[in-house]
This record gives sequence, C-alpha cells and structure tokens, in this order.
Amino acid sequence: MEKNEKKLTRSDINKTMFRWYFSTEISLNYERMQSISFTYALMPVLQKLYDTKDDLKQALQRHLALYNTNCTAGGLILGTVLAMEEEKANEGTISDEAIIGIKTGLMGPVAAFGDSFSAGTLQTLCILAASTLAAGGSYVGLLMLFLGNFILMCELVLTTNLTYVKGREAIKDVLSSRLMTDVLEGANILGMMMMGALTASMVTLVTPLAVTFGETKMKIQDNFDNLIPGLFAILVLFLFYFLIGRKKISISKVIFGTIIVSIALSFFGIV
Amino acid sequence: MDNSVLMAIAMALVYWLSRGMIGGYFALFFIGNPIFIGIISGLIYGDVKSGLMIGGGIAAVFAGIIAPGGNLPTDQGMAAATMIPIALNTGLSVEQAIAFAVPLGLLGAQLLNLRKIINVPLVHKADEYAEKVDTKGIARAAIWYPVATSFLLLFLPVFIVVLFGQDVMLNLLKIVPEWIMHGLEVAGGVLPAVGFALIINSIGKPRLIPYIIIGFVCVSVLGMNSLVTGIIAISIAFITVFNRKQLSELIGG
Repeated sequence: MEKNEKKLTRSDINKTMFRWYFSTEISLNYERMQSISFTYALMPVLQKLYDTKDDLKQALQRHLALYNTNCTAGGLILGTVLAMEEEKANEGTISDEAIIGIKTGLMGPVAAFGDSFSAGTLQTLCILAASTLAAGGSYVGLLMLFLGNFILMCELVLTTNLTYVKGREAIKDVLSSRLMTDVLEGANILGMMMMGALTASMVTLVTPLAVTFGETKMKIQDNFDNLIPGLFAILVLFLFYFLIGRKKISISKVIFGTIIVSIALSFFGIV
Repeated sequence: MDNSVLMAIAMALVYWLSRGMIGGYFALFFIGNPIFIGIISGLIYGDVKSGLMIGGGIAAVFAGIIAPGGNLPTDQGMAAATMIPIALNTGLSVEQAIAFAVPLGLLGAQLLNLRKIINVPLVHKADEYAEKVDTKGIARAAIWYPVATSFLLLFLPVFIVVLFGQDVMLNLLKIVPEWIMHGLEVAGGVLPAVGFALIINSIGKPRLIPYIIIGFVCVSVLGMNSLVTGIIAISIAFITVFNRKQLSELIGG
C-alpha cells in the first residue's frame, strides 16, 4: 500500500520560525515558561501533519510541557522537532517521549550557548558600540543596535534550517559525536573571556580615599592602578558570581543590596 | 493633543510593546533599548539629538545586561521610557538621568516578574483548549490574552510616571542629597557586573574561570579594545578545542 507522504515545505518552516520568533515570550510564565508559544508556533505544521483529532490532540499536549530556552539559538531545537514531527507523522516510529526528551534535554545547553555567545557576546559588543556612538550624538548607533538584533535573527534562521535538513539522525550523531561538545566548549571559552573583557571596559568602581603622610597626599586608587588597573571591577564580578552561583541569592536581592551598599559607601566617602 | 500627553502615550506604548515582548527579541532588544526610546522621545520633544545622547548614556550602563533564563535583573526599558522624557523636560544632565535610571530599572524588573505570575493561568487555559483540540483557543492564550493583560500592567505605570513625574523629579532634585545621587551613580557603574555574573553562572563551568581573567587582563592591563580581545578569544578557543581533540585521539578516547 502506497502511503501518502506528508512533506513540510519551505513556507511551513518559515511560518513556524516567524510564529516562534514573534510570540516566544508574550505568554512567558513561571509555571511552564515558553510552552504555549512553542505549541502556537508548531500548530499549523501539526495540523498539516496529523489528520485525526486524537493525533493532533496528543501532539498539542506533548508540546505544552515545560519549555524554556534562548529564542534564537532555540532554532537548533525547533528544526530538530520539525524533522521529528514529520517523521513521526509519516513513519510513526518516534515516540512522544523521544520528542519531549530532545526538547527538555537540549533546552538547557542551547540556552547557555545563546545567552553567553550570541546574545551575551556578539550582541553585547554591538550594543556597546551602539551606546558609545549614540552617547556621542551619532545616529550610526541606531544602525549598530539593529545589527546586533539582526545577528540574532540570522542565528534563528540558520540553526532552524540546519537542524531540519540534517534531520533527527544527524542531530543525534552531532550530539553523540564530539563536534557538539567541541563547539560548546569553544563558545564557552569565548564567552568567559569576553565576560572578563567587558567587565574591564564597562564596570567602574574607584575610591577617592587618600592617606596623608606629613606633606604628601597619597591616593589609594593610584596604588591599586599601579598594581592591577580595574582590580575592584573584577573583584565585584567574582563577588556577584559567588553570591548568585554559590549562595543562590536572588538577582533582585543582589541588585537591591548593591544599591544600598553603594549609597552607604558614598555617604562615608569610600567610593 | 498636548505634547506631554502625546509623550506619555508614546513612552507607555513603547514600553508595553517591548516588555510585553510583542515582537520577540526585536521588541525586547531593539524597541526596548534606551537608544531607540531616546530617539522617539527626542522626536516628540523636538530635540532628537539630546534624546539620542541621553539614551546612549543610559544604554551604556545597561549594555551588559541580558536576560538569562528570562530573568531580566534590571529593566533598562522602564528606566529609559520614564527617565528620558523627564530628563528632556527638566534639563537633567546625562549623569543625573543615569543616577535616577538605576532605581527605576529595578522597579521595572519587579513589574516583569509580576507579568510572569499573571501569565500562569494561561497555561491552564491552553490545557483546556488542547483537550478540545481548539487551535484558535491556543492562539488566543499564546497572543491575545497576554497582550491584553500586559497592556494594563505595563502601559499604565509608565503613562502615569511620564505624565506626572516631571514635578516630582524637580522636587526630588532639590531634596535628594548629593551623596545619594553619587551612590546611585556608583551603583550604575557596578550593575553591569551582575549581568556578566549571571552569564558566567549559566555557562556553569567554574573550571573556565581563568579565561575570565585572561579577558580582563587583555582590556584592563594591556589596554586592548573589546574587538581585538574577541579575536584573541576566538583563537584561544580554537587552540584549546583542537588540543583537547588531539590529546583524546592520542590516548584513544
């Protein structure tokens, strides 16, 4: 018996990508984060792939499970899921658990990759250039701001298409191979180095304290600058990392505390 | 229409679009950036260049802050949408605008947490619709309901602050002592580090911490710019990864 194979078209992929990009965080919530958006993005494809009401219902329900990742790097998962859903509808060999497993297994590493590399490093560099230009009164700043955003859009389009075309088997090979761990390791090294570099260029903390020895007045900051310039900035970074990563103190508490401490230190003339 | 009402409506609309995330990362990162908000408020005020420059100043303070895991630590959109129009109207300096932008950004972040709580019932709505295979219902839960609720949550506060904030700000400037203003400026100088610490935490590999120090030394001690440091970072990443590969091949890993 010839089976009528359902193939996703170019426009199906584009539509899914657009719906995902547009709606990712509109319905963001603490219970299941981006799950409604992911379901919404896939809906036209699911309707095309599954004829019976039961199959469609099952598909909608499996995608409503908790999901949270970086929107544009998330193309890696989006493309894979599209390929898997297509295969499931045609061959019926893929289980619900396999699709949910891919999504929940990948969302963490993909988010870390996107947050640190594409959004955290590439875009931050563009925004940094943009704000310097804008603060100097140049409209080119707006262009740089858009460039940072455009890079992320390209990331979504590229990753979705790549993983869809390569298909499920390929993504499994990629994941089990050392390629993925190598790429992630490289991106992480780049991300970590840039966090240090950006701390040096963007975080400022100096003390006006001075000690007077008889006639000569010695500024404490000058001594530190001779030792390691910007020492306080990097110390503050590690302090925040310690508080957030090790002590698990909430971000708003850290920021609120920072403001209180800054004002207190300012009152005593220490900063 | 009165210019100040128009300004309040425009800022509130921009804030609703960007922090309701209506339009994905374009709304979040482009429309919500102080540079864009500065240009819009400058256009309405009649001095685009001043708007652009104040926006650039505020954007620089918040540039390192992204939203790992959807948690925006402090909200530059709120800071810009409320502070830039007020700064234009009252003639604040860029430094003064930045100082007041810091606490406003913090308030904005609380509002965004509230949004994620308000959105929770949508999940149960979506479950019901899925049970009935009502795809139109799921579309409403994904788009229309949250767009409507976030309008109330995000539009109104900014509208009110921009419309009435000017007099409050002029009074505040008279009573807030210099050391508090300076303290807020200092906090503004330190806050980007919170964003970086969050990213380091989400990478989650303490063994890579030495690379932070290399990057820091490149810029701070050796005086390189960020782009050059980026090129060095890419090179080091390649070297490390290839060395690791060769090593594991040698020992038959």
